[in-house]
Amino acid sequence: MRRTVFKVLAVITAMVLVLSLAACGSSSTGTSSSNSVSAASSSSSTPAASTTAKQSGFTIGFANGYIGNTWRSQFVDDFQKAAQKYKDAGIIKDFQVVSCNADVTQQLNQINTLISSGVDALMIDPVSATSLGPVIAKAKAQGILVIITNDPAAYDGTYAVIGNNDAFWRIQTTWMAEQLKGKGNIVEITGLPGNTADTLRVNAAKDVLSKYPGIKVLASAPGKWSETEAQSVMSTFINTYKNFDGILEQDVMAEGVLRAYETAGKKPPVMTGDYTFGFLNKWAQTPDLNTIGVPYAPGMSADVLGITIRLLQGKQLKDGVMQANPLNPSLKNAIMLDPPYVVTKDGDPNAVWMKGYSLTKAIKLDDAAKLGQGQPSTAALDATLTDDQLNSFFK
Amino acid sequence: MKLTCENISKTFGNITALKNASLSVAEGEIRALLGGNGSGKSTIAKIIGGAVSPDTGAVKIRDKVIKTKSPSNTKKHGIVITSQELGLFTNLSVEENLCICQLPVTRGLFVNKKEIKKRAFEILKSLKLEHLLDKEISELAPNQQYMVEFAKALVQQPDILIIDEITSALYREDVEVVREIIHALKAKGCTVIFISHRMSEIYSICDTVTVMKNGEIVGTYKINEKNENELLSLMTGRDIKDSDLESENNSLVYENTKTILNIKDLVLPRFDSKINIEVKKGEIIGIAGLQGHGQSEFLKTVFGLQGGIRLEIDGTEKHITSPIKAVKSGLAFVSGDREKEGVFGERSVSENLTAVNNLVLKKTRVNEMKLLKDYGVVFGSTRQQITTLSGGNQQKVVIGRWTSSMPLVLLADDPTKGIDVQARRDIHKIFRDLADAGSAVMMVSSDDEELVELTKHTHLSRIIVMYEGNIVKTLMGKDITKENIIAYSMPKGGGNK
Amino acid sequence: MITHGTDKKQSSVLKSISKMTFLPAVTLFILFVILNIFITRRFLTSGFMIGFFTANAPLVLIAIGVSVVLIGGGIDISLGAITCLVNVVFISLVGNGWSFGSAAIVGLVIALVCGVINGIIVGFFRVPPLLATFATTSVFGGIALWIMPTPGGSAPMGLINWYNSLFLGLPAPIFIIVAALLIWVAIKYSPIRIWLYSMGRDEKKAYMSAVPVKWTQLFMYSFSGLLAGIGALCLTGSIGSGDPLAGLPLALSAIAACVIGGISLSGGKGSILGSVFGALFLGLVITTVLSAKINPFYQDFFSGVIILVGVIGATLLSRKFMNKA
Repeated sequence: MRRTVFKVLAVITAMVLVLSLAACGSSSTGTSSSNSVSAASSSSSTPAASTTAKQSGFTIGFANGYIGNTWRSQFVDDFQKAAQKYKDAGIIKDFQVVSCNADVTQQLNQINTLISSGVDALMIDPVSATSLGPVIAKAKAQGILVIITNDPAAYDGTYAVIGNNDAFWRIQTTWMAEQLKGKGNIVEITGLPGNTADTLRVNAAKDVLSKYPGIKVLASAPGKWSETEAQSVMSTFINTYKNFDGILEQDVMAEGVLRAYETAGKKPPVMTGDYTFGFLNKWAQTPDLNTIGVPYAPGMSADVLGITIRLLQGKQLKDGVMQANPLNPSLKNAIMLDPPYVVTKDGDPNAVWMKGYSLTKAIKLDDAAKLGQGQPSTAALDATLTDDQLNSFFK
Repeated sequence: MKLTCENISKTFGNITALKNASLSVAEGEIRALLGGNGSGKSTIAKIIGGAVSPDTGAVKIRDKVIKTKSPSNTKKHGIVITSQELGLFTNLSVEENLCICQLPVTRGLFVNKKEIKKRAFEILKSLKLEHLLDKEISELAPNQQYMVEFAKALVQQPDILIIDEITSALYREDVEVVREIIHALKAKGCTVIFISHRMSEIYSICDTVTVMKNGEIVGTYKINEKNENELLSLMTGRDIKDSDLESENNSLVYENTKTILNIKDLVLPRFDSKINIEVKKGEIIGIAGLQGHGQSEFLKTVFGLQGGIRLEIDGTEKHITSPIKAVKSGLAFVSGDREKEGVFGERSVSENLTAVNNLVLKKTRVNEMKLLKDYGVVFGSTRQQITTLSGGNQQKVVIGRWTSSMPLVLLADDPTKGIDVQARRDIHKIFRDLADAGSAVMMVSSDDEELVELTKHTHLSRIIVMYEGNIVKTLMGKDITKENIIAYSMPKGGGNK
Repeated sequence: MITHGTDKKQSSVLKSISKMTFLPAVTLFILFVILNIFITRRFLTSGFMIGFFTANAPLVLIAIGVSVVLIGGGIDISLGAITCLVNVVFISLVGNGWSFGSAAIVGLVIALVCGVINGIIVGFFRVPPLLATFATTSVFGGIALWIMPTPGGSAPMGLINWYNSLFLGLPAPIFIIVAALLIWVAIKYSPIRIWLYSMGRDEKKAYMSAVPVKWTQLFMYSFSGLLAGIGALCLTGSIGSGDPLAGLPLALSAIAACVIGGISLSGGKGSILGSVFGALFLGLVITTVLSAKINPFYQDFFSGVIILVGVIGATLLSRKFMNKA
């Protein structure tokens, strides 16, 4: 009996070996340089766009690192819609989107498959900021353009096209300071400590508030971008601090803050808000609520696709578009996408907080709420950049 | 080697299993331990074997106290226990099972497979089982498994061998081999403690007998000193006489009785045979035969365990495709393998008793207390875990689970395996009561005497003898004797060795 | 009673093949290799194969480790956390100027120590293994986060280059997998194999048969810990940096791989080879779903369906085979 087992084993081993050898035998098809993959830092700093680039017929692969909330669904959906448009226009030949569940191994498998399927450009929303070094090196070795999106990661020779967290929070903090007329006490609920986006936002708030010495931050605690966590933090604040004039909190946690006030039977003071239609509608129905909504728009994925295609077409970015990567300030490869809208009650385009953001539009709450007709309450206020706006990044 | 137990006591929770039990067995003596359910004989065996540690008292070998903390500890002193709860691993080969207690190694690292094979072959040969070499335990018949369990004890070359009821599932010819081996061990000076419920075995194998009752030693006697009924009286504390019930078998009655289960052209897996039998209302059918001639398979097939089957039950044709359909059609099945096919080990007595009634048939509630009392089940509370009961009591609860659902036909596959004489008699009475109430009982037993005893006292009964998957003989009335069963079980004609 | 010689021989060959619990996983693997040759571009190229083995070697190694635990009747869900811990320790040490060799040895020793801790808690303190390793997951994972709160650092270039290349004509990770299998083969010929399978079937009986239950448990958790350590070094070669969370999903994926490979969660059944192919099959499913161009919103669903149908199909097939035997 045992001998038979060994025979079967031997056959299997032989098959695996043959497969692998076959693999190596046919390695000439476009993977000549993959025998020894050089690592990220060994290549030049910025990918040089080729001067004789083709203008259409591209294949795009998009490896999305997580799916399972409304924002990400919109993110993937917006990409698919935009990609289909480009495909219909004949600019891209094909595209593939693949999502994983925050599993590094799964994403590496997916990227490996996308690379071997012969994509021209690879968009990656990384599961982990640092886990892609070897696989990106492999992609680059095959001449694939790599664009990191949404979650930042710093790799030499790639572009990082990400939401401008600094702008996102600078606008809202300035708004808050202006509402309080530069004087008062506030409490702060931050996001996930250690998360890059959160760090950027917290630093932006510090920077803004340093210009308003009359405003004091009584307390600051992390709400971990969770409604329930934010609710319990807010309840503690309500019970601990008798008087404060404003609440600085980030997007999804607004509902938790409102619920804490409902439970306490009090009315919330000036507070920053969320950009889901659920929140916007609630706001529209609560006349005394003084808040602001700045979308961190999932349509970013479509914008990134537009930028990717222009880069593939050999277009050159304007000077000054590339900024320092938030994860590695010495690497200037980041393109920051400002929020598309700032929603306030009156939608004043000339307000102080609107200064310096040319692609950002101030709109009224009623107009914003109208955009959400027919959308689920968890959907985000969304927008994508127009071709003209996208072209404005390029020379 | 001389083995002494001094004042051993042991309690499990609030149940006292042993009370100041003392025991002394001489070198080369074969001692029988006899007692009813919960008499403590298994407990004392386990204590000597290191599986259970005593609350007080000491185990001595040659008057020196030994540690009985773990089985590996007692094995060092040459104590080997082989028990009804098989110690075999169904996922390992026969020879690996035989040698698992002391795996021979080469260079202190790797298993010496040659040596394992050699040892296994030697021991199997002495048991006339050399054809089992290279097989996996799961391929063996139950009685062969018990023989391998016995062989596993012998491989360890015991100085003190404790045999806890392994012969209860063995057939006549196996028991004879065991008897010879035990006597050979005795000749080498090995001390043997033998626990069994089969009186004939005790008389033919043992030198002396210790009777236990309620965790205490009643007394130790030379085997010739007491006859069967005297020993039973000591065990139970009651006078036991052969019942003077006369058999009332009557063929005329038989013809006129309604058929409750009609089995037509039933094909057994593994056998190229067809079985036809009409089971009558109120009848008890004993199923006899040599080991592995399809007795168990017969019952399991009827219960739908071997795939779909068509039966005529109480006049209507039923297509039985699964046990649940069988149960809903009025069949019940009691297995002799309590551990695997009987009790729900993690659940309470009450849940075990009412499982079929409440969960499968969704009938009204069972009067649990009355049933348990009627069956003579010894228990503390209906909420206690069933595995805290002794084997016989567990089996009574399992039987109660089925009888309380008032089945038309109860199929019992060696239900009294490893159960003491008193509990066995109780179970026979339960079966007879069921038959009197109008159901039928079909029972397989590896003990011919038991079948004779069961059917002898029953109003309407017969014994069918099976051979190679066929019913070769039906015995009724005065023909029901052990001798007849043996005679018809034997292979006819030449060809087979 | 009457048997015919040739029938017997033939049926014993069938029987021994049917006992190979790894057969469904191997069949699935081969079927999916064939399928992907057709649907995945450049599937049979060294580029793809390197990437495939690079990405999946950690899972394969951890599956080998947890297989031993499962066969022995235990379960270990802390291997993902051990992988994380070894990964960040290794990267931190390298970042502090340690050589590859010494950092790797320290990493493996830590993995072994984690395994020993699991083994002592389960074997000697008799804590149920699911509970024990659930708790140690938090402890080991917590230490990893403590050492390196955010991803960072970088692995030695030598490791990354070697690991992501061909070695003697084959993807380098294959050699690590084979080395791990060789360790298991050595164990297979020691008494430990028999002890493991006996304990997996029935721990009480094994104890009664004088099997050193505690020590075998200590061994199996140590072995799985060590394999997680080796897996962590592979993961490091694959991601090129330290990440305190990257290894976590491996714990459950590895158990899934084992189950697909024919190992029973109730212990005592299955073989290591099955887990290896189960893990590789899981990797192939990811590729297959992608190559089949399934809408991203349904990809999870389809991977699930593929695994389910594949496993059920392969199991039915092998059962049919077994009945013949």
